[in-house]
Amino acid sequence: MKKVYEWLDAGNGRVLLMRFLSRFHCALITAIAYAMVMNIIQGEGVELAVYCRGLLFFVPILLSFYAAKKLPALWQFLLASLMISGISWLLTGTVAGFIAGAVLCFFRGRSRLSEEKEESAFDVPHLAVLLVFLVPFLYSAGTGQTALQKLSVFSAALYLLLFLAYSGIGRVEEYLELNRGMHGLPVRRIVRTAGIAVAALVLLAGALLLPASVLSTGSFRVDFSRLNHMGAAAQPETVMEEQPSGFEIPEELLGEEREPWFQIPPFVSYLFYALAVGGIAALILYGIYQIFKNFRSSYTDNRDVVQFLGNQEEEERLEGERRHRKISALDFSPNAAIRRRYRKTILRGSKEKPEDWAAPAELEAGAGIADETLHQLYEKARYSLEGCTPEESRALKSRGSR
Amino acid sequence: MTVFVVLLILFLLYLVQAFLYDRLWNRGLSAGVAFREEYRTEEETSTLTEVIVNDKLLPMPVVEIDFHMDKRLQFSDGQNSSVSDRSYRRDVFALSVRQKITRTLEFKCVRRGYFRIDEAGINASNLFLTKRYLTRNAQNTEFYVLPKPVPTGQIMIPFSRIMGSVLSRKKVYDDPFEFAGLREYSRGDPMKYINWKATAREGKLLTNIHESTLSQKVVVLLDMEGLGVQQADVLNEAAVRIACSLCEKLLSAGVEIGVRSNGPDVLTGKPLRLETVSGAGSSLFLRKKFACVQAQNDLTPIASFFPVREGSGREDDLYVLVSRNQSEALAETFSSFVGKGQAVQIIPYREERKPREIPQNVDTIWMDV
Repeated sequence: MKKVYEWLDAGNGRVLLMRFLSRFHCALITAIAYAMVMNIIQGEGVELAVYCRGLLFFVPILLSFYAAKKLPALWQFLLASLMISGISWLLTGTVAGFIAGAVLCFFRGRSRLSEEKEESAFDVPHLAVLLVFLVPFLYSAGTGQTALQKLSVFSAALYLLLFLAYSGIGRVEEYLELNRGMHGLPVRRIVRTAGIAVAALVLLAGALLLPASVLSTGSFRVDFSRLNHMGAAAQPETVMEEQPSGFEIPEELLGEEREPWFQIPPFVSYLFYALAVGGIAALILYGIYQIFKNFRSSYTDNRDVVQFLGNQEEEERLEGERRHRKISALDFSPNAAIRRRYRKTILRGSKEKPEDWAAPAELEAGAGIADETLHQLYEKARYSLEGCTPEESRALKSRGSR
Repeated sequence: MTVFVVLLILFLLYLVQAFLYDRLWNRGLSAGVAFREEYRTEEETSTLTEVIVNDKLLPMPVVEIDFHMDKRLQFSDGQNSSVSDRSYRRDVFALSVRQKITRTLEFKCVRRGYFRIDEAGINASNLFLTKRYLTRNAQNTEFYVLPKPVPTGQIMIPFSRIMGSVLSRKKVYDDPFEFAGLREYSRGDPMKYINWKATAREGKLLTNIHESTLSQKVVVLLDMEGLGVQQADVLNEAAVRIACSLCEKLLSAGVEIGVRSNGPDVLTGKPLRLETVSGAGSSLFLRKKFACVQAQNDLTPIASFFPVREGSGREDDLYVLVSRNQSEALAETFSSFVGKGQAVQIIPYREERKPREIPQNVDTIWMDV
């Protein structure tokens, strides 16, 4: 595998994946552009096959990248460029494909000659590129091309996922590259933790976005002809068409009120769907955590001894928290009653709010109180294991009332 | 519309993640840096442990720990540290939920000294490495690098001479608390030393033998003047080693010692001064004190630290001056301070050895280091 990485000029699998994603982002743009152009040329509904053919532009993009990187002589690159343009013609089936391939190779060649270190726009997905998908979307909305609109939404969703994956992996890789010389860098564990987070984000986004984009009706319309008639001041009217449902209710059952005054918007049901998916995902994650909890053990990774905090540590922590926790309003124990009284007395005597870290003696000095009984009872309530008795609490209360 | 709602949900989820990390990133997160041992000797190796705990249900993909350490302690790997005036160390950890990681770093004790680590920085990232959080954690760990002992062959020369001086003038007193054994009674033994129980058992008179104590005290005067020049640094370090090794040997021989130096103690900031140290058990204490003494420029001359002898009741004390200073002026000052008594001056040197007049009452020992 290492030899493959070396041959492909990729240090590891992450770089290879990023390279794949960065080529695919260009293919997504060309595919939707190709679909739109074909739609304009042919003047009829675009087919999925045309879109998929556009996606094949991924191959020339990849080939041109490696041609620019691997071929040592310029004449070799020019020859390869010619071949790549030919391949893109073959794959797309139009001369436009050849031209696009030639343009691509031109830019690759230029980058190579100028020895640019930074990756070109062909290789880096960017969130702003999502605006490109707005063009076919608006075109389809204006011309009523349902299939093209669905494809543009789907492509945009796919591009967003690709961007999330690319930037997530890129950030991890960037950090690792920055600290490459560091001895004992826990690469595997960093990749595992941050990589799982990125993968979970992309999967969740994919699970929510892709069905929504695939199931979209493509019925968003903008009437540009009315825009022309009404003049520049007029706003374009958008028309949302409801998706035809699977079965139809007979008209006689509907009665006279065919359209109810209020309908639950479809996004509400989708919101519930998303919440349900999120809940189930959380339950699964919790289940996995519970399973792994029972198998957790200490292990050594390089120079690190990794230990999971067991129940004993957790109990110690909780005990510590319990000790330092503020008194709950629902706590009516003698300890809580004494602590409340102490607090009230201190606050009454202090001009300023006492510091959290102050010891009881410091608090009393600050408040000008010299009550030994209260001091002892408070310390007993706060720090002793046995705590105060109800009699002590009552005695303090009765003393206060006198 | 649905797509926009989904995007909104995703954005909200991202914000929730960011909010959670902003609020909870340092909850249950602690970093501890500690020396594993309390002390080591020069040129030995020791270890430092970094313990990172993430006691919460949020994983921390990247946690960086950084701290400063004196450059006299050199990390063995030497890779994650940059050395300027001090050594700066940075290590990266990846912590899962409720996890504790212990990393052990080996370092070499290059030179003696007292070292502390008071603070460690924590630099953590959120789940997607998009944001960094910084804080500093107080630490409380200390370490002594004790002076390296001088080889026995080298130290035996001054030690024998000092012991010779000590023994020639010693007054032996029996120590009634230190029992050494029994012997047969001989005429003149005090009655109180007869061991009656042993006598009854053996049927003949037996008397106790006690350990003796040396009444004489040796006061070591250590000159730490000079810093920054390689020769001075080397010779001062050699002087500390010689003084320390001598004191150890004297202590184990049952001699009471005192130490005075013009070099400040790094813990107190005042010149090192130990009035009386005795017993082999004080050896570690003494070595730690020698680890803390610092060489500096423009120190008060060592002559100012010669104690007052007349009327102090310690006129019989033997003085040992350890100084790289070869000047006749210092020798004369020391000689006049000793007066009618006897003293020893040890001069560590390298290459250069100035010829000078030797005072009668000062036994000068040159030690090539």
